[in-house]
Amino acid sequence: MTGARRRLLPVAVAAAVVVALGLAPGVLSPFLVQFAINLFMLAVLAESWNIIGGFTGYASFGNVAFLGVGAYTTGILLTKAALPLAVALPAGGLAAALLAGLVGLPILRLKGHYFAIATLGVAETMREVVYNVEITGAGTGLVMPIARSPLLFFYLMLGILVAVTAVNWWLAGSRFGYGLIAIREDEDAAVAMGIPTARYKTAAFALSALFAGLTGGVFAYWITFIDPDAVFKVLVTIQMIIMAVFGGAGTIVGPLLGALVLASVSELLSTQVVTLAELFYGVIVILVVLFMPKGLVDVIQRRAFSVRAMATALREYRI
Amino acid sequence: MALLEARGVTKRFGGLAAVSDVSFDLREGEILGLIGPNGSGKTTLVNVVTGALPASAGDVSFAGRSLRGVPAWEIGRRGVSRTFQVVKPFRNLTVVDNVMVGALFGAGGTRDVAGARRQAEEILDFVGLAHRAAAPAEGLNVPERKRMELARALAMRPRVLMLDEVMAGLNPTEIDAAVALIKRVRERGVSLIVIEHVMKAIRSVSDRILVLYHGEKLTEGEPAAVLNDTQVIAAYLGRRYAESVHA
Amino acid sequence: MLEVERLSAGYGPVQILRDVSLVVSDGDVVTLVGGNGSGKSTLLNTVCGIMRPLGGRVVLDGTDITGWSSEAIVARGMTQVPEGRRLFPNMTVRENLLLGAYRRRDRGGIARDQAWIYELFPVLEDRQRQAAGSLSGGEQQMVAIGRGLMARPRLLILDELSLGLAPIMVDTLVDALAKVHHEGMTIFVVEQDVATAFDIARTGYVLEDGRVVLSGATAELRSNPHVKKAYLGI
Repeated sequence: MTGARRRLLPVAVAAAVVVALGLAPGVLSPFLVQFAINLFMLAVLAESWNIIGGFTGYASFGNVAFLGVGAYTTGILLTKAALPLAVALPAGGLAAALLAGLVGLPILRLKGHYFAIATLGVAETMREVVYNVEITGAGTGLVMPIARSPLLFFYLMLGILVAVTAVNWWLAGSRFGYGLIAIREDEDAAVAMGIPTARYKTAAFALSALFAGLTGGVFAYWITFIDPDAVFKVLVTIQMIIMAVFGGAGTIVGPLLGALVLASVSELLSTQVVTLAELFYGVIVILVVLFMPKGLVDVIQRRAFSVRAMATALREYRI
Repeated sequence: MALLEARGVTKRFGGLAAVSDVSFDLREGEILGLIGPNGSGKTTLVNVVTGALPASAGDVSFAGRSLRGVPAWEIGRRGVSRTFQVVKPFRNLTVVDNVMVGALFGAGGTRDVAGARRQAEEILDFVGLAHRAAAPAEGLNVPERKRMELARALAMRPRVLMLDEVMAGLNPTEIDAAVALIKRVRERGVSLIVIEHVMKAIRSVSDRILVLYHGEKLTEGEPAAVLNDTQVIAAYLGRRYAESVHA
Repeated sequence: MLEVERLSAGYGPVQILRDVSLVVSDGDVVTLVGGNGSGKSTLLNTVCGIMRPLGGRVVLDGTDITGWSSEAIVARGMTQVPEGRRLFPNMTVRENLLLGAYRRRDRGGIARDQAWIYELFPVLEDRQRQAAGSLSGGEQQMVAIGRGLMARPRLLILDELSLGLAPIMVDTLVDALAKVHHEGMTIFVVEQDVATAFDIARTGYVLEDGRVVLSGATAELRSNPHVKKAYLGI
């Protein structure tokens, strides 16, 4: 968190990367385009989780609820109301943000483990609600109109990814961001300093939900068929958290890096052995907690690649 | 009308009254010392005044406006700041970032991050921590952490500042420096309430002293009178202090 | 009882203690004073096995315990009352005290010692079923000392006894420690408040910048001009 000078170079690099990605579909195989779309979704989820989990320090274990709400809202508007995507998609994001705002008011008063469990409960509740309600197609699910080409999803997700990363970048240098970080570091001190913590936490939660909701909307349209189990998967929450933490929670590019590395490795592994996904993430959690608790970005910044550095991390965090 | 007025402040936890019917005034430009044994209610009183805890009875008003029902963050915004007895640094931030939070959200309420940084740097210079501005807060030693805590509260541009045991653990030279710093803070237009157990410090820094005992006000007045009061010696200062003063 | 010979210690590249030597004789009350950054905590950490020294020796009752783990050192009879008390806040006063006797098996002895501690600190007997975290700072310090004594140590170490306590409370503790010493306990006090330290101890060491700069009987150290100016503020 230093001055403005240091921030121009990364912006230029980011712009170059975005342009490169924008041109990528021209050279990538259809399989890689699909992989990229999936990767973008995970990256957006990790970056959006970072807002509430990384910056604010409230580890939500239920953000998949917002993915699901976004998916279903967009899905229902597309199918039942025959609205165009340009309306249905933002509506999905907004619905998710609204849910976060409503639910956030009571549950953001909880701390640590209690908050985590409460958010998990929210996700499970949303799944049950959708399961039992007519308009969502209940257990049978919803069938979307067929989309035209995969490129639509590629560019939609790239756009959303740029947006959520820009929000993270803005947070890292703005007054609102400082407030969130203060809440994470010491909430009692933050209150004493004049930060309206309840408002700020809820806003962060809603912002995080917005992007998860938008991702859900795109996801629904992309896979053309959704049912409660497809969009309210606990594994998705776990993936986004692990990616953010592995990369570096509270940093701007950490979650992106985490998503890129872990999604790629997991994809490579799954072509070899099919059922490895959950085992893989479990192992990553253990490795991160033991050897690189502050994430990959921290390791890179401190150039701490040696075995000795990892042993130090092991000892430091044990005591 | 005093800057800060407490009337009949009572705070109960279950059946126990931690603070009982305490009234006092803090006049503009004054340094009020607050002493008393552990458990006498000093920190609880600070918590009630700053809104961290709601009062069970009684009222506190600041600059003529009642603070009843005002959320703690807003009390900070209006100009009442405090430090914590056990310091609460934002560990993963640098020292200047820590102080910037005060500048961004306090009564000064700068919205501009760059401006807040400049204010923070000025305050760090004022408290003598400018050389540690870029250091991570985690790396500071105890006296430095206390000074950073003070700087952070000062950055809020308060009119009333409550210091909770900032001198614990300092040696006599450091105490003299801290007393001088507190007086310079007053010159910047801040009225102070100073909670301390270090008698040498309280004696030299306070205009008046308020003594709490078991949650009640035991006495208040000029330092010389209060510190020689037999009740205060029996309840708080002890024989070794009395002996040392008369030695 | 305790001999520290030419101890050097530090953290990574930073050396804090340089060639520190001191002796705590059997049955004596010794204090080590020094300001912030003088190295008092480092010395204690090294003596108690939390840190490994860079050089020198620590000898407890004739046995070289340099580099030993804390558990082994405690088993040998050295108990520390840590800075900040470090009680178990959600357990009762009684439970905290009994935990001090964790390593002991002699029920009769434990009960007698508990009674002794209630004699030293009557207020603890009144509060024995209260949660330790709800006590005032001074009362918590009494529990911490009591817990240390329940281990029936050969050497009792007190770290920053008076920090944050009201003067009258420190009086009570000073008086209690005098009684404990009278019963034959060897006590080592690391303390910031030099006046209190010299009231408690008979022998004193002054640490500055990781070196012992003065030592001797506290009665004499009190009148040393450097001590008076830098530490007693006279």
